[in-house]
Amino acid sequence: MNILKLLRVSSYMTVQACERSGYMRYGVSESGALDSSALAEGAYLLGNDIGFGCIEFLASGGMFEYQGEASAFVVNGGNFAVELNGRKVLCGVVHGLANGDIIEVGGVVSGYVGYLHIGGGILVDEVLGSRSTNVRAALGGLDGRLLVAGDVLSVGRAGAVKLGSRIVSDRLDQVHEIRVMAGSGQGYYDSAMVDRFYSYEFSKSVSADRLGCVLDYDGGRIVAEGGLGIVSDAVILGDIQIQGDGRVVVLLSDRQPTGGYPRIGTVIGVDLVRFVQLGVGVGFCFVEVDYLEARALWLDELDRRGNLGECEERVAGDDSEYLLGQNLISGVIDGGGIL
Amino acid sequence: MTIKFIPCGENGLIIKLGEELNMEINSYAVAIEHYLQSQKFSFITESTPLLNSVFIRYDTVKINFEKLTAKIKPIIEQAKTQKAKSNHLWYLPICYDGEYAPDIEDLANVMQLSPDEIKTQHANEVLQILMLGFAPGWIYGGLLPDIWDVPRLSAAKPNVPAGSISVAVRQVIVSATVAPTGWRTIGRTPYLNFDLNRKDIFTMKAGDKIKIEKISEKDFILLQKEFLANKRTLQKRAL
Repeated sequence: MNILKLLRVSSYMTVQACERSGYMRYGVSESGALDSSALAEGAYLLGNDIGFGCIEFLASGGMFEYQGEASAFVVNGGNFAVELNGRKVLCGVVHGLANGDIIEVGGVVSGYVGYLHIGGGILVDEVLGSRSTNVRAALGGLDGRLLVAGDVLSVGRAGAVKLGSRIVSDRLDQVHEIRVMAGSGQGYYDSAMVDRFYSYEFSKSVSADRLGCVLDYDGGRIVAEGGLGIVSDAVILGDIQIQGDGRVVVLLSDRQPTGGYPRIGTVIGVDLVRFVQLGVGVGFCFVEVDYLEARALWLDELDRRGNLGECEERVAGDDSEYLLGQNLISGVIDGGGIL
Repeated sequence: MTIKFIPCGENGLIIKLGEELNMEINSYAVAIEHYLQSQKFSFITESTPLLNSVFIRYDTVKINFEKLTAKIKPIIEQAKTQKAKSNHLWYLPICYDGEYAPDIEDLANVMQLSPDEIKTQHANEVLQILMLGFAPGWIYGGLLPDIWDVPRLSAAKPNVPAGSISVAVRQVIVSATVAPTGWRTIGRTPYLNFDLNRKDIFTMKAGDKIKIEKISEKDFILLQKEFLANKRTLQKRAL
């Protein structure tokens, strides 16, 4: 059996995979990788299914030891410092992985959320149809909890990994605008408050995890005068709620699925991955787009995820030769899976 | 009743049946959601009945918001005349004593009743399950008579135990996981409505009713053991 030992972890490290969909009627939010593009890209590069687990971390990584058959790995999402057995390797690129290898993921260089994907995936049990962890509900992942140093995770057998490849994406590019649709509760805010929402500069505070992210802003508070006694309804991924004390919160994958604070906006799907990758303190504004535009952008993104081969790039130069060397050492996996 | 169709991101729809919450609106939300499920629309990914609304997630590749609402509008009309689905009345044991009822004195002050009066009056209510929400298996029940229209606490209490029975705004929350709550806790049930080790992971659902069985602290401990070991099931009858 292949295993991954966690030698060192960062503060909010979990097993994540695709969403746990269909359980909202029982009070269960969907969880899953915050950066769903990174999940899809990592799975593509390693020949994994998006239902296989990977390790998600916020702002900094950890140290991992792999034991087992020849495999491969990629660190993606944000841009992180990555070392394989003490040698610097490129983030976002697939590298070979042999028995006893040590992967070290350091601090974030750009972006915020990172992933370690291993060929064959992290094979924790599926709970309610997904391997993703929901820490608040103590559900999925490894015993429904954050990973800690000393944990040992079972790893599957690598399939057709694309050694030396990466996916070209622009989602870590500096953005100053996060696009939103009008929220389901925007009508509870008077126009002066809506104007504030679209004119202020916001930034993520340090209070950011998988439930949600509190935003900092300067200027008069944004409040919903008529919206504090409203009857709870559905709260979806990317909803922006403004609490009674004026705190602006963007709700993420492990949020509560129902709530009574009126939502002024909803971050659109394509910008949600950009939003989760924004660093703490980076300024941005909210810009409203309509449903049709948000949908068209999302359909384009689904199309991109279905044709990731078109965004695939082989890394050239010394690094490529190094990788090829690794492959010769590792040998061929499963009758030619690696190259 | 003014029904609003509110887009919720690229693939969500809230059917808001009104601003207010009453039994009629809630029953209608449950009926619409049930009827929608029975239609087995390929473009609907999931649907959820909520207090005074229905939430729908749809496959935005297959259908857009405009066409979706056009398909759903007649369903909402038809749901009015549909027979309600077969629901259950559950006999839920609740202990209102000691450590299980940390806020009962405080609530007694707010309601100007004695703790014993609160226990008796609460236990005599038959609760309609209005929705499941907030966290896995959590029940929102009600609506209780007007004297139960008490506000939430100004600050949430952390780490409230699973199974806690808490009240505010004529509603009752039956929790099923450890979580913070800003409602006053007046009892606890040994039966958790979310248990991954049980065949029916979620037992009680929106549209069902709850008949309360008042139990002692001694019974609580006994029943909790039996429920956790799957040696006892929750008693019910068809409605």
